Amino acid sequence: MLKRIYDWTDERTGLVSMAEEEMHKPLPPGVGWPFSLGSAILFLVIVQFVTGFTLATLYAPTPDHAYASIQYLERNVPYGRIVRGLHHWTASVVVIVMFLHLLRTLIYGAYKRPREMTWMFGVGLFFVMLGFAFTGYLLPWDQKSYWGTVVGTEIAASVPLVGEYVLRLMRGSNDVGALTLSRFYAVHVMLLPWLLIGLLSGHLFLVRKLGTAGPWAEHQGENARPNPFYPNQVFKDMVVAVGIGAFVLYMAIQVGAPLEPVANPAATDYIPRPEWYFLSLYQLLKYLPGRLEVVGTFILPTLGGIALFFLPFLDRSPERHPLKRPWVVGIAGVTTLGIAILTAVAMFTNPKQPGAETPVADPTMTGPVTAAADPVRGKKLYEDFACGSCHVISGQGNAVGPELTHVGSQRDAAYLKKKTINPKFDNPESIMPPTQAPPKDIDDLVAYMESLK
Amino acid sequence: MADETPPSPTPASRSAEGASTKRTRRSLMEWGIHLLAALATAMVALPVLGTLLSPIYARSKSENWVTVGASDQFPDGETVKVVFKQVKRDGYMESEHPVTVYVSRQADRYTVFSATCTHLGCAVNWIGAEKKFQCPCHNGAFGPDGKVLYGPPPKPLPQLQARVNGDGQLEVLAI
Repeated sequence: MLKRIYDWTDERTGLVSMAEEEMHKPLPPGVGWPFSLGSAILFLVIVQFVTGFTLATLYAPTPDHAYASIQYLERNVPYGRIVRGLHHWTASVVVIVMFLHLLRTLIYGAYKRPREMTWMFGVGLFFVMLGFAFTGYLLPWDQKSYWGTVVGTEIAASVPLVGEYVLRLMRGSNDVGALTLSRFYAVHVMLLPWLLIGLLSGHLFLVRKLGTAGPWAEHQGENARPNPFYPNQVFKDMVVAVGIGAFVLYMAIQVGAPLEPVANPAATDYIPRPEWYFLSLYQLLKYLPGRLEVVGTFILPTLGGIALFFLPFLDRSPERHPLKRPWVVGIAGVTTLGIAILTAVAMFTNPKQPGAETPVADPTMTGPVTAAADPVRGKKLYEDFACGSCHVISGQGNAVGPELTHVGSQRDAAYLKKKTINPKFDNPESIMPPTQAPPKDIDDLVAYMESLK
Repeated sequence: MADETPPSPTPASRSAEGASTKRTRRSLMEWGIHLLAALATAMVALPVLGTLLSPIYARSKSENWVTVGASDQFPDGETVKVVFKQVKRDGYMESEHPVTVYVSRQADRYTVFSATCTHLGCAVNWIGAEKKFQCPCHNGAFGPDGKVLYGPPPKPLPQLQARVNGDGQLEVLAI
């Protein structure tokens, strides 16, 4: 039966035998593990499409609901936390793997004739991926995403002459707000995916049409044998893809995706920081004061991007050995090192976020609630943390967990504190998630509960 | 597909033993590819399907007792229409809906009927003089006990769980 469907389809389209032919095309000798990164990226892109669609079924792109919808996804939707974690961690990992893939291609000189366009499609894909990162960053509408976008769009405003127009075009108005969120969402889920699919199709078509360049000539000794794509290379590709996938899944489950307090345009104590892959630029700006700033915000990134895109035309000799191309490999090495150093410096020297990065309350801590605890702020936190999705106070909320209407007269502060931090301490069956918040927040929450007599 | 040997310039002099090792290696790799493909699919599909299909298996268990009014305000032996506000959790939002019910008191027993006709969902009216719930849409009617008197409704009028709390307030379990 399967065979008949197969033959029927193939007779009419020729697609099946074409795909099979592709699978069995031999690869040049010496192709192996370093050539598996492209497939890994393809796998990660598929992960992003699938998890992205799933997130979009639960997300509301308006400032009124964006944060609440993410909170709901994290706390109430089964596996929602993991799906968001997968999307978050894959977004980071794909940037690293793409960078390595690009570096590998550069070192092997694989962008040279006739593969110039394969390279240009690839660089285009890298820019599209950074676009995904920039637009996706805003969507959770927490402090980090709001302030990151304020600064990010402000950087775009430093473009000479047209900066102000670029800023308004990106924000949809003068400030980061409802219109910004809508347009970032539209770009993230409607424009960029199509660009990605278009560029990726071109890239993959050329990779299959021209074949992989393989290693430079010296690798191909006398005994070199061509490598069948299937199963030899497919197996290696899949080991790498699944390995990266396992790491991403582990991070999604163990760490999850961060969610800071809801965006507050009035906050003055918040230190905006971009996502790690933009940290090097962020750090560079610190060394370029005043009039030179535009060098870091606009001139360097633009020139770098253009040089990268047109690299096949800047380095036209047929020589592929990295040691015989000292300029290209040297500049790439210095740039990579520079980015790495700037990123590291930014990661280790920047001030800690007040509040956001203060240590989470120690689960073993049972000490008394400090006298300064503020029940009014606690009530606000109770709402922010959506405790009402499982607890009822005076008829408000859902009775999944115990009702808290009179909890202040039923439990003492020490118990409430312990229970809030580690709900399983007296009942291993408890399904309540531990409350991860700075000690001050826990104290205020407990103070609020104590006030419910 | 299965029997195609990879194009390999193996010298003809190579022993048959070597060829069979190669075949084993090849089938091992093919087996590995299938295993890895299954793993890669499961890694993504399990959490994603868990989320996407959650409306089927994770019914919201939220119990929401809503106060309708003081229990002694309902006259014994009569049926009274009550409209109360219910805060409903709607995904990530909470919204307030007015809900109409009929409270019928027999001494200490309170029966709370939904106002939704079991035929096509129109709201029924209590006709006190005739002691029946009349549906305005297709001329269906229910008796004071909620049972179908005549007309198209297939089932009796649904009842809501009700209780009188410690403060003497009548509460219903809102769905």
